[in-house]
Parts: sequence; structure tokens; C-alpha cells
Amino acid sequence: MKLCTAIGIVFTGFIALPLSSPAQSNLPKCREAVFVESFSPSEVNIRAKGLGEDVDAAESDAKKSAVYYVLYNAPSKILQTPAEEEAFSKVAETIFADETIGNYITFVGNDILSRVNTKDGVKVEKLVRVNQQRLIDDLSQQGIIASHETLTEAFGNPFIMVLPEVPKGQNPIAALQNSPNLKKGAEVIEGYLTSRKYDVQVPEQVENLSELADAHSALKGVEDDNAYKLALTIGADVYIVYNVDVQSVPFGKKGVVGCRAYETTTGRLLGTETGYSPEKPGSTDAALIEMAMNDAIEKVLTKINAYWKEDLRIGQQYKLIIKITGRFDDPLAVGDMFDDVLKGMTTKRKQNAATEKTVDYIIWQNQFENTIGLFRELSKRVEQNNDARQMGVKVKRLNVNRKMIILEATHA
Amino acid sequence: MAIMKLPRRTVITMTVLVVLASAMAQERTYVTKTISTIDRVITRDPSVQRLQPLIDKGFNLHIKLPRFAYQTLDPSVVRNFIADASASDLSAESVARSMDRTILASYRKAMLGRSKAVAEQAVTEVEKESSSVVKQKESAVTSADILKAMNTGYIYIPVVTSYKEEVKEKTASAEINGYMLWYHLETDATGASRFVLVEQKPDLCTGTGTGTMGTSYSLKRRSVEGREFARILAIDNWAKNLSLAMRRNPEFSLSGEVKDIRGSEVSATIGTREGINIDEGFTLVDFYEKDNGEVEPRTVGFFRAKSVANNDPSGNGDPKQMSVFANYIGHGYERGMILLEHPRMGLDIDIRARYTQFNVPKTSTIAFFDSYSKPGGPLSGTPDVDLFNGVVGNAHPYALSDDATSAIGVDLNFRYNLARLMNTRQLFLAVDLSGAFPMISTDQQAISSGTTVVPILLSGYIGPLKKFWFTRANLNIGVGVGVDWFHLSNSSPSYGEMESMSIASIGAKAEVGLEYLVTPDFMINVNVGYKFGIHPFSGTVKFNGIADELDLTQNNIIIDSPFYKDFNFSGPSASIGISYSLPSLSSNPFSGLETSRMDY
Repeated sequence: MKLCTAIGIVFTGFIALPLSSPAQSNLPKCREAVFVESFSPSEVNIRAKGLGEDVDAAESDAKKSAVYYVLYNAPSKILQTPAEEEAFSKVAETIFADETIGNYITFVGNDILSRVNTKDGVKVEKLVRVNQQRLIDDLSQQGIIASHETLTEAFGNPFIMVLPEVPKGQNPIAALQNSPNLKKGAEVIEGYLTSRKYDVQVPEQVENLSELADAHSALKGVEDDNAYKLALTIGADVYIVYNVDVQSVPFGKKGVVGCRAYETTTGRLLGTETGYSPEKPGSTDAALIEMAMNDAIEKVLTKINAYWKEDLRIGQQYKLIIKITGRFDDPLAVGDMFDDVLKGMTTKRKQNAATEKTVDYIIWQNQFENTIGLFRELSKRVEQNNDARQMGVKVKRLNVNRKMIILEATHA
Repeated sequence: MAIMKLPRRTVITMTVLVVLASAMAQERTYVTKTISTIDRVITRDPSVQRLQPLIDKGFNLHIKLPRFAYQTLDPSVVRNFIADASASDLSAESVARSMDRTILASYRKAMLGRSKAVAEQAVTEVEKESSSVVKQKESAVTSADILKAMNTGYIYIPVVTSYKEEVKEKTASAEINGYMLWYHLETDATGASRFVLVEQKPDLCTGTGTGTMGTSYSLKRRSVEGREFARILAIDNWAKNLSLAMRRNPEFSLSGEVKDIRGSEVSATIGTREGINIDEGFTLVDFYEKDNGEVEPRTVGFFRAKSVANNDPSGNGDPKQMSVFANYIGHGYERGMILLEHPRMGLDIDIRARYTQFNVPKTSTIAFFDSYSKPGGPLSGTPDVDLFNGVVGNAHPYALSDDATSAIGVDLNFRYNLARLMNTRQLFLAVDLSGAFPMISTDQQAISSGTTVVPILLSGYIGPLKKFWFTRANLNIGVGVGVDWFHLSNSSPSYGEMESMSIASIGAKAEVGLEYLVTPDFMINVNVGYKFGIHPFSGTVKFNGIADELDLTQNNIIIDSPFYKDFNFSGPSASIGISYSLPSLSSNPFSGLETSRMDY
């Protein structure tokens, strides 16, 4: 009986083996792809290779390969953190299924760009246009990645300022007004950012400069960079400085742009990208600049998004400058007091400078929706602080905007 | 060089300069090449200069093909080149440098002027689908396409190595030998250009022609006399062979990507714009990755053009139209493979072993002249075979021991593809030449000792032949009319003995064959047929020592005499053979079919 049972189990196993062979994965077999260009704010053109037993199967694989590239390997890849990749792996088979992959493809070229037979099958290369935005939206909906709305809400709808790069001391607004190419560059960035639902400001009004003047005294000693100062003044979370150039090449012209994105509060460079247009004969400068800028801005935005994702963890950043104007026996002790206060109400703080006249901080917090709330709490805590009472410190608001708080610590 | 003052020892030396473009670099889409010439031949024979106008016309017909655009060179620039080149050693490299010094600047400027139009063909789908094109409606042409267009310029210089004419009796003949030097204008990414020789060892091509003195031959626009016709034919055949050699060079070969597949037919975007014709052959090429990562091309099939699309915009065509190609060799073909031109002259040569049946009665082979007049003999007035046999008694009057009823021999056949002329696929003009040895022995007692009598059967037939293909095999049906000729020859006849005998007849034949395509150019075939011969209408017998030939038509001997009444070439035949598509031939025996197209 036991022998019969054993035989039965073995026999069943042999039958079951073919039935239980692993299902074929929907992921692409070939993952070779090359980024061609950002076709629009929501779509990208990719040259992708696919592998299959025949050309039809290879073309199908090429579509998957293009989407895989956009997810994992593109300059502006969608999955930016290990957590996002881990989360995506759980839904990858569904995304790459033949029935669903077409949702993310807006165009597949007719031509076979290259074809070669390998030992694993035939490999073909196709032009594939991927609807990157739709993919982002779907993954956001499923909680795989943080949506743009989540990010922007978490930061109280941050915005980006765009300015042309000018030599130190020169007026970027004047440069913008005088140069059609710079203006075109700004328009392209604006268009790109607004279509991605970022808030954008391109300061073209002189009034902005008057604001700058008002804040100038407070920012005395700050690096003489008008773009930085403008951004701080206006309260941009990030500012992008760009330059444009059209170069002559044999048989045509080429547009070259550079974009640098800075974190306003710290002046830290978040990313720098150079974009190139194809070399074309007979194209207008404006068209070349647009092509080059499309090439650069996509990659810059990726870096900005990565910065915001990081900030989600620890909170929003602000620049805090405290001007010590009162007569104090030990002005440095005033700085120490503020440090104690900030310790209790911020997730992170970084002191850039502490002198008898000025204390300069970068702080992160996630309790308050805006700087007003933050300032009020700071004032309240200073009032309640024993050291502050003993020293007779009184806090006055000099200038408060989205990203910057300038206070005066006077003697009561 | 007759075009300029040459040093006496002028030699064009072929030096290895440029590697042939490999099939690896085969274009997926053919981009129109621009060709130019200096309108002169290089030759050591000053007499060739008078042929320049005819050579120019030959090149107009066969070198300036629809696949090319033609750019005229500035005559003053050409003069400068000739003067500069003639001062050099005329090596291929020196000629190239002379071209750099004299022709380059103006040619480059001309190419730049045409580059945008040519570049439109080179635009890739990736470029066409870029945002600047789709949304901003910009031109898709990039500087890379312009650079590609700048690299589509070629200058050809014909070299005649020898030319001769002769007249023998009433036949004029001409022969021309030579090759073509092709120079490519190479432009690099920095915009610098220079001329580079394309082919290290160009094919030496020959053209021959014959004409009958005093005969008028009609060409397309005029009629010419025999000697001039021979000259024109030689140049025309030479130009055709140069053209075929050019088309076999990957630099100039047509290629097209397979875009669509339906059953055993594929479609590709080449057509009238590239000048293809139906029935032209194309090999199918695919690329394979080797273990070391290199990619190599391999031939995986063979196709012929079935229908040619009008894709020439200048001819109201649609550039997106595709020609259809029928499969002959290969299977498992897919989109993305490349069709590569396989140029041939359209003439197949076919050699067969043949067994044929007929009837040559032995009574038609009376060995001695004296016998003809004997009672009952053919010249006796009352020919009677039985009486004749009785009269001669036990003697053996006939050279053949018995009736000859079968023969084994060899066919040499020509198949000329009429597709271009008749717009019908796989329709051929067949010219069959046959020689066979009757399987019969001679009567040694009838002929002198020590002599040998050899019978031979010759025939020449002409007619249409149509092939019906089933992928790699075809059933072909041919009919023809022609002449059969039976000949007996005696090696050492004695006085009065038959020296030779010839009897001819006309006939018609029908033949059915099966062919199998082993390679695109090589076929094996088996055939059966039947010949319908009418009774011979002419014959002669020559006797040793007898002054006059015996004319068998005299007194209708051959028609009425019982000695010849059963003489007939009718009968079945079977053959087996091989066939080969000729890449070129110095003289096309079917040139006569195309004289009306010869615009000389």
C-alpha cells in the first residue's frame, strides 16, 4: 500500500511538472533603449530594441523595452528611489502585460531601424513614443510613486523661478527683455513647467527689483547674485538659471542651452543639464532653442522632483536670518538661545553663520503650513524662553516670505 | 591619353586606395546618387576619340540610369582637370588629386546646392517624428542628412584599353575593351572633401558587334550601315557590361527594406524612381550577430520583381508606393530584411544532354554515285527500292547499316528574358542549337575500307518559352520553329564515293520542362518534347572526284523518290541539363531585338 502511494505521488509529480512550469514573464526580454527627445511635456521619443522569435514578437518586446527604459533608465526616469522600484516590482507584470502596455504607447514607428538575428531570436529596433505622464499618473494612483500633487501639496504649492544667466552685477530682467533668444528659452521652460502643473514665475516686472531693494539691506553680506537674491525675495522654492546659444556647424546650426536649478534657501545647486538640438540647416534660432531646451528641462525637473521627495521626509526648508540689533551683554548668547528654541520646533537645522550681529540658519520643519505660522510659534517660544527673558530679547519681524524669514532681535 | 597630350608611356596603374563598401553598410533605403563625368575617355589610341559621341550615347542609355541624378560639370573646370591630370603619371591616385585641385570646389558647391533635395530621401523616421517636425512643422532634414547627401556624389571616367575594327568578306566587326574609374566625393563631418577611388580593381569589360556591309539597320532615330552598326553594337554591349559591373558594386546597388509580406510575396519601397523592371532579381539579405558581437550579412533568399510601383514623384507617382517581389528561394522571410539588387543581363545559357528520335532511312545514304543511276536507283527514272536492292544484289549500297531512328547529343540553348520588352514575367525568347550523333553504325561493306562515315544531326530552333513558377521550381512550356539538318561525312572517300551528304528540313517543336532553381543563377532541368518535321525539302550529296554536287531537289528526288519518302525529323525527345544566368557577355546575340531602343 505504501509502495502504491509512493508510486502514485511520483507519477503525479511527473504529470504535474509540465503543468507547473513557470509562466513567461511579461517584462521585456531586451532592455536596450536610447533616449531620443522629449516630444512634449507628457511624451518622450525612445529608440528601443526588442527581442523575439519573429519580428512581430520583437516589435512587441520593443514597446515594453521603451516603457522599461522610461521607468528605470531614462535621464528622467520615473522610479527614482529603491522604495519606488520595490513597490513597482509588485505590479510590473500587470503593467507590462500585452493588454496594458499599449496604454502607455502613443506612437510606434513603421520603419524597422535596425534588425539582426541573435542566438536568442531576432532583435529589432523601433521608434516608440511613450506617454510618460500617463504612466506617472497611473503609478501615482496606485501609490507606487508620489504624485506631483502630493509633492506640491506637501510643500504648499512650491514654485519655480526662471531667469536667464547674466554676468554678475547685470540685470537679468533687462537681458530677458532685450534678447529674443533668452525670451524664447524662458517661454519654453514656462510652457514645460506649467504643463507639468508647476507654479512658475518669470520675473519680468521692474517692481520685482524694488522688492529686491527692500530686502537688500537685510541681505547685506549675501553673495552678490541677483538671481539668488530675487528668488529669495520673491520666495521661489527653486530657481532655474539658463543660458542659450546657437552655434554654427558644418551644414547647419545647433542650439545649445544650459540649465542650472538651485535650491533657493541654501543656494545649493540641485542639478545642471545641457541640452542640445539636432544640427539642422535652415531652422530658426527659436526652433533650435526650443529643441535644446526640451532636451535639458526634462532632466532638470527630474532632479528637482528628487529634491522634493527627499524634503517630504524631513519637511520644508526655510532660510532664517536673525539680525541682533539690541545692546546685549553677550550677543552670542542670543544666538545660543535661538538655537535652543529652534531645536524644539524644527526637524532639522543648520547654522551657516553666527556672529554678534547676525545668525544665519537653514531650517526644516513639517509642523506649520506657512512661514507666518512658523514665525508666530518662534516668537511665542522666544517669549517663553527663560534665557530670552533674562536677556530681554524681543523679536521683530523684518521680512517674511515663502522661503525666508528675516527677524530682528532687539532689546525689550 | 587621347583627350590630352600624353607622355608616351602613360599607364593607368590601379592602386589599392579605397576598400569597397561592404554589404554591412548596405542602406535600408536607397538614396539617390549623383553622377557626373568629364565627357572624355582615357585611351592610348587616338582613333578612339572619334567614337566619343557614340560612347556618350551609350553611357546615356546604360550608365545614366534612373537611379541616378546627373550633374553636369563646368567645361572650363573639366579643361583644367585634363590639363592638370595629363601632367601627372595618370595613376588612379594622381587623377584623384588632380580632381581635388581642379574639380573639387565647383563640384562640392554643386553638390551642396542639391543636398537638401537628396537629403529628403535620407531622412529617417526618427527625424520625421521629432517634435520639431510634427509640432513646429520644421523640415526633418538634419545636418547629418545633408552630410549623407554630400557623400552621394560620384564622377566616372571611362578608360578604353583597346579598340579594333575589321571587315572580312561582307561582315564588319568591332570590339572595344575597357573599364570605368569611379571617384567618390567623400566629405567628413568637418565639411572637408576629397575625391577617392571607389574600386581598386574595376572589371574589364568587352563589347563586340557585327554587321553586314551594305545592309541598313534601323535604330531608334536613324538607320545606319553595317560597319557603323557593328561599331554601335560593340559600344552598346560594352556600355551595358560596364553598367552591369557598376550595379554589382555595393556603392551603386539598389536596396530596399521589406515592408510588407503577403504569402510568398514581399513589398519594398523601390520602383520606377530607381528604374527597376519586372523580373529583375534581388537577393534577400539578413544580418546575424556572431559570437564576438560582430554583425555579418547573409543571403537568405531570392526574389524577382513581380510588379513595379510608380514611386517617382516627377512621374506623378507616390513615393510610398511599393513594388511587389515574388519569392523563388528562401522561406521564413520577415519585415526588416533587405532586398539587394542582383543584376544580370537577362540571358540564360542552357546546356543539355538530349536523346531524340527521328527517321533517316538507310536508303537515303547511297554510298556511291554510280549506284544512283543503276536500275531502280534514285536517278534511274524509275526509282524502286526493291528493284535497286535486287540489282545491286549482295552488294551493300547504303552507307548506314540500318535506318537511323535515334540520336544522343548536346543542346546549347539561349533564353532571353523578354519581360522588359513585353511586360510579361518569365517570358523568354528561346534559341536552341542542338547537335546529336545518331545511334547507328555504318555499313563497312558499303564504304571504302579504312574510311569513317560520321552522321550528325544538327538543329536550330527559335520560339517563345514561358515559365510557370512554383516557388523554387517551374514548369516551362516552349514552342519553336526551326531547321533540322542531317549530315553525313566520309573521312577518306574513294573516287565516286560519297564525300558528304546534307539533308535539311523545317519543323516545329513543342517542349515541356521542369526546372529547379539551385541558386539564383543556376538551374537544373529535365524536359520532354516532340518535334513535328515536314518532309525534307532540300538536300545535296557530294561525291569524291565528281565535279558537281548531286542536288536532291532536282527532279524532286528528295520529295518523290521512295529512297527518301520516310525521311523525317519528327519524333519525341528528352533532355536533362543545367542553366546559368549570365552576368554579362561581350556580345548579346539578341541585340537585334533592341535596336529600336538604341538611341544612337
